[in-house]
Amino acid sequence: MSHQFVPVNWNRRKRIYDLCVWVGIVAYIVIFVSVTNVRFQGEASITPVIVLMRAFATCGFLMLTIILCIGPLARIDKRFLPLLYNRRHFGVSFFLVALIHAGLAIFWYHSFGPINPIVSVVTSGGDYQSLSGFPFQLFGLLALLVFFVMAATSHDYWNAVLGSSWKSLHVMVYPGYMLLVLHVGFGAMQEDYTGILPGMLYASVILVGGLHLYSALFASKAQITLETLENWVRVGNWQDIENDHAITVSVGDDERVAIFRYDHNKLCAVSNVCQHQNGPLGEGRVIDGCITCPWHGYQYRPEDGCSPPPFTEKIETYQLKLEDNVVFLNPDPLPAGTSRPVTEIR
Amino acid sequence: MKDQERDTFFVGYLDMPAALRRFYTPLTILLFGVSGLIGFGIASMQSSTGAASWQTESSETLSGLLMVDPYPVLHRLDPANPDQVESILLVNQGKFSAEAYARPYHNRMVSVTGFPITRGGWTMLEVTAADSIFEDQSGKSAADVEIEKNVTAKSLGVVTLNGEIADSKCFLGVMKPGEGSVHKACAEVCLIGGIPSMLVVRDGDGRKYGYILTLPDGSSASTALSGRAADKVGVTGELMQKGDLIYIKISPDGLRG
Ligand code: HEM
Ligand code: FES
Repeated sequence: MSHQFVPVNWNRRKRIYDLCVWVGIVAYIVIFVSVTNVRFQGEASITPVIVLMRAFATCGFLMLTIILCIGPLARIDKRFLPLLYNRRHFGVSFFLVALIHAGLAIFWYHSFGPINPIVSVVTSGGDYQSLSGFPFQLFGLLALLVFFVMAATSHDYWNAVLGSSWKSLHVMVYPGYMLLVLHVGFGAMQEDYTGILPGMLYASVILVGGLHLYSALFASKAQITLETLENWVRVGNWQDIENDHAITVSVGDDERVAIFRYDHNKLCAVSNVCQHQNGPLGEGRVIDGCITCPWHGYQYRPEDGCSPPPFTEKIETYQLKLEDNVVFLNPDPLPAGTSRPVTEIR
Repeated sequence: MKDQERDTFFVGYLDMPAALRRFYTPLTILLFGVSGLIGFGIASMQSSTGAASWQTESSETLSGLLMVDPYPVLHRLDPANPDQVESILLVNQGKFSAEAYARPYHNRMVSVTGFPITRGGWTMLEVTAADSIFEDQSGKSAADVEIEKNVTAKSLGVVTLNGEIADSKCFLGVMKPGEGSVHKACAEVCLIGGIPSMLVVRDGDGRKYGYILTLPDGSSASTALSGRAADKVGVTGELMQKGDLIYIKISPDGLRG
């Protein structure tokens, strides 16, 4: 569970996940191409390269829509969490699909001419004054670059090297998505070779936007507001914490603390942020005596916030005290991996 | 601990709880189904590009009078209709004009080997090498004299038309679709490469007609129009006929729209 940096950490679940993704991609392309070939035959057939370009484009857009829905869905209903578990492979697969589309477009529309294809992508097809003539390829190219950077840094190695900037880097998926919406809106939608492309675009934006909005409202309700008592903040009754579960509280601006109850009568507080990919530890469980992250299962000991050997991850710990069944938290974090007395309920 | 809750907590290296499996089986099927339907829907809703072809497997050799101004054209007697001339546009491979290959044979009787591109009544020939054109040494036949009579330019008066500026090679069958705004960048590269520029005009029934575009002095308008590729424009200009091709003389500054 530690950063051993093997190329990819495979297990059976990941294989099944990736298999589903790629079976889905292949099935989508086969359906798209077959339907086109049945409908347009002989002299009326659509050029195969263009059919593939459209198949991979729409497949990629669909994949990105699904990827962006996983986050909020997992916050709304925990049963979606396993989808998040291997989302990075989904993301890299999406990048490859998008790359095939872009490659076909550059090969077919921009090559074989008097201009360097890449120069042509950037300079040609541009009429910045008109809606239908706007150079939509540029949006596609920028989106592709964003997704390239994300795919290239998706490995745990970069996660560890980049630290907190990794997260900001990967939030770029939203600008990337926006660029794609513009790419389709200024491009294919202006031509609208099918009547349903605009509908698909709106549906995707409404779904992604709506789920994010809903989960933001929903998640903020679950948060506990803290009452400060001198230096300690009042969290609530220990009975409100289910055994082997946690509740999450916010301290400061965006620091969150997970308070676990385990062994029925023990309490501990740790940072809510998993060292692996910032997974929400407070949504995890205590399994085999260790706090277990809901995203990829990294584990930490409740006593000191350290991963059990041979692993070396550490999270910040917090002090708790109990008065008349009420739990109080010291909001000042202790350095990662610091042990403090376990609070026992008598 | 509530059993149902424990059931759905999933860690990748442990087995998937039964409750989660019950959740994921239908969800996976649903996702596959919806994705398949979307692919099916978009694919079947694509609009038709009309009938056109680009024969890339077998070449054809055609004979006639070659002229290069403003674009390389082979004029020959129409095999189906021998008292009429059929005019065949010649282009190079890729997004290039065949001008360099054709220029040495201007106004000569030649045989040209290439790959036919056809749409409606149009034929274009893609010439892939300089030695695909060779001069007929047999001297002028009666048929040749007939062709020559027909290829002097005739004016048909001034007209105003609305249509899209296209590159003739893609439009006539190399790319289906080879017109429209998503094809703009490609058409632009083609026009810079010297592919004959064309105004594609639709009538009320959606039928398409092509008019070859030249500058007011009768020379190629392709480079001058490259920035307007795929634009929907109105043009006013003199209509000319040479062989069975119709040209419009336009000035790129005088385009409307
Ligand atoms: C260098 C980058 C890119 C270029 C040059 C490019 C070019 C194009 C072109 C020419 C079309 C119109 C295709 C047609 O119908 O004839 C198109 C459409 C589209 N592109 Fe891209 N694209 C790029 C990047 C991307 C990326 C990264 C995505 C992400 C999935 C994407 C998604 C789409 C979608 C959804 C459509 C609309 C459906 C279609 O008409 O195929 N594009 N793109
Ligand atoms: S974020 Fe990956 S295990 Fe916690």
